[in-house]
Amino acid sequence: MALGDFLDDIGSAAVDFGRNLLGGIIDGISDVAPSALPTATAALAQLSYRGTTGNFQSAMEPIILSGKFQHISDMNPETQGSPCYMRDYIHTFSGFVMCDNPIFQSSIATSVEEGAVEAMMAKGFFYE
Amino acid sequence: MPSISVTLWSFDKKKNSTKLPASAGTEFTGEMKQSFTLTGLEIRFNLGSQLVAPTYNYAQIPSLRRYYFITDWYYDRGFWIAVMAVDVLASFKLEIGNSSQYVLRSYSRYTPGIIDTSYPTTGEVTRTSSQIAAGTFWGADVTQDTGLIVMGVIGNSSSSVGAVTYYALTMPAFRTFLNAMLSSISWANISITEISAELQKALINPTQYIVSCRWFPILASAFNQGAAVSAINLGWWSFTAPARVLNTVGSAWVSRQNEFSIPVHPQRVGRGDYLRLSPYSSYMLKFLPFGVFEIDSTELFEGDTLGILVDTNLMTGDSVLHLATKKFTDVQYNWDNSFLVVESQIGVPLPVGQVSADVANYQNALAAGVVAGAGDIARSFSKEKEPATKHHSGKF
Repeated sequence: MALGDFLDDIGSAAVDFGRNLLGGIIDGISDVAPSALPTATAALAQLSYRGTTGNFQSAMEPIILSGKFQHISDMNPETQGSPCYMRDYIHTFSGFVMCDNPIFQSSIATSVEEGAVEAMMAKGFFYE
Repeated sequence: MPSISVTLWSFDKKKNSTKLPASAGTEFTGEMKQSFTLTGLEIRFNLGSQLVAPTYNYAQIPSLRRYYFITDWYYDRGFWIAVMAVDVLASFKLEIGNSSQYVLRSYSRYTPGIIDTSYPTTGEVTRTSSQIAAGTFWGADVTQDTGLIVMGVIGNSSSSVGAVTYYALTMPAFRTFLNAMLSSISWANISITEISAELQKALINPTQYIVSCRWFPILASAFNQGAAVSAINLGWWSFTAPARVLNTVGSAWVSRQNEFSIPVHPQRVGRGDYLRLSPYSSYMLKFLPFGVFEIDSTELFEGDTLGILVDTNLMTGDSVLHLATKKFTDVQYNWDNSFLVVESQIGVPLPVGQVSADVANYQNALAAGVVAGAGDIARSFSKEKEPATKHHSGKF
C-alpha cells in the first residue's frame, strides 16, 4: 500500500469517526413534529333547528348559551414549545425553539457543522 | 502526538442546547491522536496513576474554537483517553442567535390562537352554560299577563298605517275592549223598535274589523310608544279602552338587548387560549323561536361577552335577531358586524272571532297558476315546441 493511500485511509477513518460521533449527537435528539392546526379549519356555525312562529312556549323558554369543552392531556411547553409561526432573530427567543427549513451559515463552521446546526434547529433545540 | 490545551467540566446540559458552562472549568494539557477531525476526536490525558473514572463530560478546546461533549472515556496504558464530539450549538451560539429564522414552535414566544395538536384529548368533557330568563330578556312574564297585545283594526282613524290602525293594549285593557264590544249591542245605536237586539247581534259582527291580533312578550306597563288614546275606533263605532295607537312604523318598532358572559374552556389559562376554538370548544345557543344555533367558535374567540339584539315590529311581529361579541373593554356592540342575523316571528297570533283569509295572496297565487297553466296549454298546442331545458331559462 502506498504511503498516500495509507494516510488517506487513516484520514477518512478519522473523518468517519468524527462524523459518526456528531451524527450520534443529532440522532439522539428526538423529533418534535410541528403540530399546529390553522384556525381556518375550525368548524363553521350551523343552524341545527330553526323556529317557525311566535308562541307562548317559546316566550317562556330561557335563552341559553352552552359550551362543551373537551379536555386535553397535560401540556409540555418547556420541551415542546408552543405554535409560534414567526420570523425573527433567534436571540429574541429563549428555551425551546424549532425552525422551519432553517438556513445556518457561519464563516468559522464547516459545512458538516452547518448541516448539523440546521438539523438540530429543524428538530428543535434549546437556546439558553 | 501534538499536545493541546483543554478545559474540562462536569457539566449537565441537554444535547440540543446552546448552553455554555458558567464556571471556569479545569485546564489540562492533553495529547491529540495523530489524525482527527473538528467534529470528533480523541485526546489522551494524564490524570494520575490511580484508576479512577474521570467525571469530566464537557470540554473546550480554545485553539480549535469549539466546545465538545465527552461521549466516552477509555483507559490505555496508564492514560485516560476522552472521546469527544463537537457541540455545534454551543460552539456557534453567537452565530445561531444572530440568524433570522422562521420559528414554528417556541417556549418563550407563541401565538395563542394557533391550535396545537400535540396534545390529544382525554375524553373528559366539561359543560358550562349561562342563561337569561325569558322575562329578563323580553320584559314580560307569560304567566302574569304582563305582555303587550297589538291589534290591527279597520276603523275611522287618522292614525292608520295604510288601512289598518294598530293599537297596543295591556291584557286587562284588551278584556275591557272585548267586554265593551260584546256585552251588549247598544253601541250600534240602532233602535230595537227597528231591529231587535238579538237580530242586531246576529247581523253585526264587530270582530270582522279586527284584521290582526298578536301578543308580544313586551312589558306592557313600560311600553310608552305611540300616542295614548282612551278609545278604539272599530268599523263605524268607538269603544272605550286605554291603548296606545301606533301611527307610524317607527312607533311600532321595539328593540331588546342583553348579553352573555361567554363560557370558556377550563384549560384555557396560560397557553391554552386556542382551546376556545373548535374542536376543543363548541357552543350552542338556544333562543326560541329563532332556533337553536351551533355558533362558530372563532366568532367567540376574541370576545368576552355575546350580545343579543332583537328588533321587533309590533305591527307584523317580524323580528330580527343579531348576535355580536365584544371585549370587556369595548363600550358597546358593533351590530353592523353581527356574525349571525336571523329572522323569525315573535308575535303570538291570538285568534279572533272572524276567520280571516289573505285574499290578496290567494288571488295572486290563483293568477300565477292560471298564467302558468295557460302557458303550458299554449305550449302543448304549439307546433314548434322549445326544448324542455329552455323552459326555465328566463330571467328571474
